[in-house]
Amino acid sequence: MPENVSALTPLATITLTGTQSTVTFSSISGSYRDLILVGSNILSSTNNDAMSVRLNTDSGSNYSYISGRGDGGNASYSNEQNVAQSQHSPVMIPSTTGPADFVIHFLDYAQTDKHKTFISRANTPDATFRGAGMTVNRWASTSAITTITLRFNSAATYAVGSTFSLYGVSA
Amino acid sequence: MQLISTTTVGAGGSASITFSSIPGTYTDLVLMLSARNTGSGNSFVLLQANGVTSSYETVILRGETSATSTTGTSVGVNNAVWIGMTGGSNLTGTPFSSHQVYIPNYTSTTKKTFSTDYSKESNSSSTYENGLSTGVNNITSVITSLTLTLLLSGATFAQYSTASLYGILKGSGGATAS
Repeated sequence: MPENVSALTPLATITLTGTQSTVTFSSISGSYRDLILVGSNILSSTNNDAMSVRLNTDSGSNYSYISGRGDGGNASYSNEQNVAQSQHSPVMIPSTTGPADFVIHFLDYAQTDKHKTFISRANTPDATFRGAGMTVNRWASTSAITTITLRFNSAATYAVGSTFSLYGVSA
Repeated sequence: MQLISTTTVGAGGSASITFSSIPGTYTDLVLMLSARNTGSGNSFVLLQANGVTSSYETVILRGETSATSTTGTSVGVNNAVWIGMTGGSNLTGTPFSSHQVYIPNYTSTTKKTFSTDYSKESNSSSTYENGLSTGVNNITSVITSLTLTLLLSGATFAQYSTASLYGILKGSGGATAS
């Protein structure tokens, strides 16, 4: 590939100017092969809440995941089957003071012949709530992904300055 | 994603690999490294930004063959971010390790974070591993340089080790964010 031809096409971005309980990417074009969603400088209103994903506003028990995390002293793993939202950072907990970041890769997001798989990496380098984690998720739907909603599991909100960017990956 | 610069280590090896004069025209940076060290053992690969040599913090989650270990460090102890492990002559087949470091918002005035995926290959079933790391530093200025070195005393990056730096630019088009 020529070095200056980008395979990542920016689709949308938002940096919060006020607190929000959810962040939504909608009207996602089906013209790409994969999607990559990057979250940076993520801060939350409260500590100890994990982040999750819903696709196409589906709140049914259609998400399954397995995840691993290391916090510098312990390695832990968790999984759930057929729950109401997928955890893209099940044990990655954005704190009120330390910036977290994540990258989620949605594979074949517009294909209608398969369930959707997405892989996420999330980090919280903050000294108190630190950890590096990874999750593999499945959404049991053959619908093309047109909306992605990021949220917290409980009542936390995303803080001002949290930035989210969506990219399309060309085949 | 656009290539900013790439470099390949020549004969004789190199103690460090540096990207300098990094343009501030992108949103995020991606550093990709294929590396091997000239020492007789494994070595962590170290990353420093803007010549800063203190107050880095790293957490690593590693899987080594059948065991899983986690290495942690505390603020103020580390002089660099640890971005995974590379092998030396201890590994059969002279394989190179692979590392990808994602650096979001490198031009912001907030703390800088470094997210790494890596794998250390080997033809031996007892010496391969892969892992993740997360790092942070209180650098609040634009990142204009990145330097890679090795933790193993006396080791250098072997010939044919290659590092490439890419820029990613966010924008709008094809979706709505709210």
